Amino acid sequence: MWHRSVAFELTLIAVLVMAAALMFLTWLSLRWQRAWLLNEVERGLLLTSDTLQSSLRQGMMQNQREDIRSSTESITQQTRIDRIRLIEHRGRITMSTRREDVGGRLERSAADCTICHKGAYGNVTLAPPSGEARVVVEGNRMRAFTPVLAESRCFNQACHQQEKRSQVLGVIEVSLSLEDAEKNFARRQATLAGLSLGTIVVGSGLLGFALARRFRRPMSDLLRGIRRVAAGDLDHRIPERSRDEFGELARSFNVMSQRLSNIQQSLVRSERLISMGKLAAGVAHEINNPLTGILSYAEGLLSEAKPDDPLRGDYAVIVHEALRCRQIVRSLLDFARQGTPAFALVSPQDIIEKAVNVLVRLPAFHQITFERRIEPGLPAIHADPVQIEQVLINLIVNAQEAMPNGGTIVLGAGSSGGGNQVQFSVKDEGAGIPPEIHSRIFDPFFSTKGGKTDGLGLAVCLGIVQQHEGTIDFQSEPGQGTVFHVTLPVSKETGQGKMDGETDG
Amino acid sequence: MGERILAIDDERVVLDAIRKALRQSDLETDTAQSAAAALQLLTASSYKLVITDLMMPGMDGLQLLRRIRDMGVKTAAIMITGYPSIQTALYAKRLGAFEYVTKPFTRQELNSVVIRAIRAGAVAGPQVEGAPPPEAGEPVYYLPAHSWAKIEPDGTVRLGMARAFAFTVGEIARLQLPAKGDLVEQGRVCAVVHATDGVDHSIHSPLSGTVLEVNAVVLENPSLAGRDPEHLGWLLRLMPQNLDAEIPNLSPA
Repeated sequence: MWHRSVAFELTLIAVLVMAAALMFLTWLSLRWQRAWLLNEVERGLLLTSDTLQSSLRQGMMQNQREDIRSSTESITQQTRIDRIRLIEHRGRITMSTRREDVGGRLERSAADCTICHKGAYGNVTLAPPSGEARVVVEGNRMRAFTPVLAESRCFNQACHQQEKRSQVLGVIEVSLSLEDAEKNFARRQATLAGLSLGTIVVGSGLLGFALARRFRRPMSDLLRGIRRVAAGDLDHRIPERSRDEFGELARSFNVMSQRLSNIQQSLVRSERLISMGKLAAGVAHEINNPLTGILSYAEGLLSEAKPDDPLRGDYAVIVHEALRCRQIVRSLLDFARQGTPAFALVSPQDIIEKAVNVLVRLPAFHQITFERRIEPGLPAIHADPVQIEQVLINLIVNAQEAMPNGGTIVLGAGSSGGGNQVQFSVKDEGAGIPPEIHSRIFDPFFSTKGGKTDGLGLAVCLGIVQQHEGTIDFQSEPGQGTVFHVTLPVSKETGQGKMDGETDG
Repeated sequence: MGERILAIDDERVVLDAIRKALRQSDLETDTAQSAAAALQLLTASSYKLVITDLMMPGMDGLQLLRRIRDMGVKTAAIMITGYPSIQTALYAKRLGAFEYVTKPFTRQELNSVVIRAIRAGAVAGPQVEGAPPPEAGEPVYYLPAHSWAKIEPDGTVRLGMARAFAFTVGEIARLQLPAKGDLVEQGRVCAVVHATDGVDHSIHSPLSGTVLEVNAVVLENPSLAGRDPEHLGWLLRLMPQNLDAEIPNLSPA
């Protein structure tokens, strides 16, 4: 899998770019070096050629061929110059360090002649002016052709008596083997290529290591996080190690997980609510008939028992418990039958006032002080006023029951969600909700009140709030009290559930 | 009209319960375990009262009721249901049921309704309201044959027993009313009438709300509730909870 990692890909890209750049630079550098080297060799060759010409000058003037031969041969033996030829302008080789060449003749068309002579006879189209040498590179050798210019003295000598018209009497050809230079160059080339390759290898290694180090930890954190979340662990959080994009990614991921977790919790709750409602209704209907039998026969036994029958008390218990079952079943059916909301535009403040109005006269509320914290200018909301009032009444009654010796209940309403939602709050100063039951308080039939209630209050609240596409949650500190928040969309269009295309009720 | 009562339910145990309960009121009961069997019995003999379950396989209670009316049989009927909503209860009444009883019922509850049905001599058709016509424009609403609700100018609601209910319970010995602060619900029991003949009758509330006031006069003098139910004999004053949604379930005066 390593070859699929981003670090590897980035390293590969970087190495390829680096290698291409280095190879290009190396190639360019070698080209320049080769040109420079040839230039140097050429300069040396020309220098040699000039030196040779001036040293041969005396010999040529006096036509001392043996002297010329011996000095040229000694040059070829001591240097990389492998051949020196004197070629007379008509093509005759008058002298050569290779003796077998002497006396030979080069044709006009011979390659060596066409270096300067092109076209018609005698037309030296390419001859450099003022007798400068011409250099050619052919295969492994570099040759300099230096013209020997005629001087007036030359025509007094026997060798050039008949050539008074000629300005160029011939050329001195100095031929140099490039083998050494090429070897030298090849060595440099190999060294440079090796250095480049080394740089690439070491560089890519360092780069890969650095990238892998930089990427591996955040990437593996992220991957592990995604796998954990995919496996259902929505509470997993990725460590936010840096302030760069990885840190940002981790933060965003954590926010996403948190939201997912919230949504999942509310889905689980509402699913539990719906399935429990259905189950309850089904069970309730099935239980009604046998319960009718139990109640009837127990009542029969009770009414027929003589006053001193020791079982009278037992029969009475059966009747009483059957009636209790009946009450439980009816609560279940009431719960399962929660009506769909009748939506209307209502003022949040009105709902609060109505709820308070219903409760404030009850004896249980005589020791309760109500405090209202209602944001001015709240918009009217799209809700069922009766159902929301029911929610608030349930929450307020719970708040009161949390403070059996009295206290203050703070009722709040404020805008939230950028003005798209209104949040109601009901806060008490009671004992708080123990953390171990936080996850269960919205469950139907969960009650802390010892069977005094049906345990449906908060389940009903949740059902109503969810039908309004709102949310209900709470914060509770043991000994500090509890605050419940009910957040409702201002209008159905701004609610969370607008994608499901529900129509207004 | 015969002296016997016909009970229909698909479960034996419920029929037994009905028979045993009605024996307390010296009433004899024939039973049928299906609507078809009941129709056969109805063609063979006449009955004082039909008590039928609402939910039965095959023909249900409402269909049976319609068939009985189509046959021209005007015997009063009582519908036994699971726990009905006010809407289903009123629907059963519109189809000519005198009253509905919810399962599981106590003997006392069934007897109360059966006795009232027989006393009312109720037949199919509109309920006998027997109330003097209300003053024009007075906002009074009825839960037929049970109770009435009058909306007061201050937004509270006064409620009381319907005259037809008072007529069927006979002489009232004692009233049992909820306490101040209690919640009552539309279509559920809001008061119990103890009649001098020893039978208790439950009054269903016309509206939901919190009890604000109990009529002390009528508690002192329960017969007032029977003699003048619409005026001095009112029972409770409520802070209504869901007036707009509940009013459509009631009959206007």
